Amino acid sequence: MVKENKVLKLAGYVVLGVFAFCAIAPILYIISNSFMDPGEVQDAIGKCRFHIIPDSFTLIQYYEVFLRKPEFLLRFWNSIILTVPIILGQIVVSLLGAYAFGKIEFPYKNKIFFMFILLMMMPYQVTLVPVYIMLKKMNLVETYASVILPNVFSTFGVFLLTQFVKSIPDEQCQAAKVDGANHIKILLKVIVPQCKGAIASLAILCFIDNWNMIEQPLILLSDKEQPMSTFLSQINQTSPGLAFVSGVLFILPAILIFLKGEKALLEGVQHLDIK
Amino acid sequence: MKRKKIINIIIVAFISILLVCTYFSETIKNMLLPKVTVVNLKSGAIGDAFETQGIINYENTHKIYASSDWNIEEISAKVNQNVKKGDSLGKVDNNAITLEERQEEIQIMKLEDELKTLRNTPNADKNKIKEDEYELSTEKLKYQQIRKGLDENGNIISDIDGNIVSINSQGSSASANSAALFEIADSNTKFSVSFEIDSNDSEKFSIGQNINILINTDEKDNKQKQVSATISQKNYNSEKDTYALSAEIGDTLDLKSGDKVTISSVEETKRYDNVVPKSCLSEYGGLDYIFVVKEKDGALDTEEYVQKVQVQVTASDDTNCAIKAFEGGSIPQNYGIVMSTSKSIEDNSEVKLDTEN
Repeated sequence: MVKENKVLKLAGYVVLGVFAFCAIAPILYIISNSFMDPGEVQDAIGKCRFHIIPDSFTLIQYYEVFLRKPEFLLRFWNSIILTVPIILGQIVVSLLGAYAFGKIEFPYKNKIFFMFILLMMMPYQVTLVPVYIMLKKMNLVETYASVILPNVFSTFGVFLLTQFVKSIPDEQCQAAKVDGANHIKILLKVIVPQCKGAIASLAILCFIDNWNMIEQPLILLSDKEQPMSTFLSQINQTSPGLAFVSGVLFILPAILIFLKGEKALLEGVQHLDIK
Repeated sequence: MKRKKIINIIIVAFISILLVCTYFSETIKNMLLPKVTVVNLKSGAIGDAFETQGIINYENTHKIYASSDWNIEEISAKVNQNVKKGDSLGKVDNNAITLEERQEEIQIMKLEDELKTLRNTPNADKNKIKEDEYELSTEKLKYQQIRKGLDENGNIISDIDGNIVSINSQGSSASANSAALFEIADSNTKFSVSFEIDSNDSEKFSIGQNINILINTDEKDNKQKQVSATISQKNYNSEKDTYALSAEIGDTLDLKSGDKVTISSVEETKRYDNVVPKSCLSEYGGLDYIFVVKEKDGALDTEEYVQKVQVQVTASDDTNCAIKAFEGGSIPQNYGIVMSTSKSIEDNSEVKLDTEN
């Protein structure tokens, strides 16, 4: 019986190990190839070989990207220019929406909230054409604002924060109201301090979502304003070696932000789960 | 706590590196790029041929002078303008000319009256009559001269078909003694070419010798026409230790004074369309290549990069070689060709043009 359990346990480890390898192999592949000579990378790709251990360890591709090809760095900053305002805007808009849905009574509140959830289910591609036409009429196409503005209004952010706001006891808000606080004061002094974790998890999720965006920049931005996410696909075809380094640079901020806000993110997700 | 600190350090370091590299990207890139000097493809000769640059001059032009003291009001003609006989070139103060004419008319009338009186006088002094007759004819000539070159409205009139090559209007007045007001090149205008040679090459050229003049007929396509000229002057300049030569061009061509031409001691048939210094050639696997510098839009600005082009060497001497495109290929025209580079380059390498030399 004990022996049978051990065999099952081992089989479980093997299956999990295979899954873990499948999940981590692309990242390992990117990292190891970024330290190879461009010729070695080209050779391995040409021969369709899964070459993961470098013949010789070199930083030549990092040297190329950091010192000789400023377009990589400019694309990186383009990604930052697009992502940071979206995160800040989304937090502000979502907090206001969440406060309204969570703490203010108004007609058809639940129905409107239901519509919000429905909108959340809708893929972005569905609204892409009307968004493009509206932005064109506003002369915003080929500006950073064309990507930032539509993304500031996120139904997911409102939904996520509403769950947190609802969990804050109404008595606290009423007590603040008795003390003479208006809605803005209640939001800033009562709600926000208790939603820090949720705001952090929204920021992380929002960062990952917008850091990886492809469709909006491709359609709405000119070539010079394209972020790293779209540039990676272009560079893949011409300089695969440099694409690996760019890939590492591209995933590094996401990993760092996740490590930095890991706790807040887990709290946020768990809170959603409980609700 | 320690983990948090490490993550913070990594984030700060990562952003700092990216910031510094981006901010100084142009400087860093310029420091690292290979600096190249370029030359342009040009036609020329290979071997012992002697070539130098010369400047075209007019040998003779038609000149228009002020026939009396003119107060010039306006110059309407411009240099390089084609004019026809009778065209107005400018305007002078017509009142001053008319006044001068009338004064002259009065003088003539006085002389005519005096002559008439003398002739009707018995035993008149014949010498005095002759003297007055002579004076009268002189005044009549003067009268005709006043409006020479002008019409009744005071316009300066061209008396020849041709092209205005110079206008010498100094201020608002011109006298009969001053330099020609207009110089016009017509179909009879001859050209000469002046050039300078080092005293070491002086033996190659002597008075009466024929030389070949290559005139660019199409700058874009690098097309040239060859004419011959005969050396007419050879003067030694002791200060510079050079010889200044002048040669008369036989053909009347569509030339302008100041045009730069190539003077060659060989026939056009022995010349080559694409001549470059030998240092432009690179050899890989027994084949010859040149690197052509092209431009493209880059992340920061326009970027220069090189394109490797396979060529065939058709002739060469110690310094230069004539090249032609390899079978099926072509040599891109109007682009610089890399003559020297500070670092090794390959096809599509980004480069920086060395503008200091």
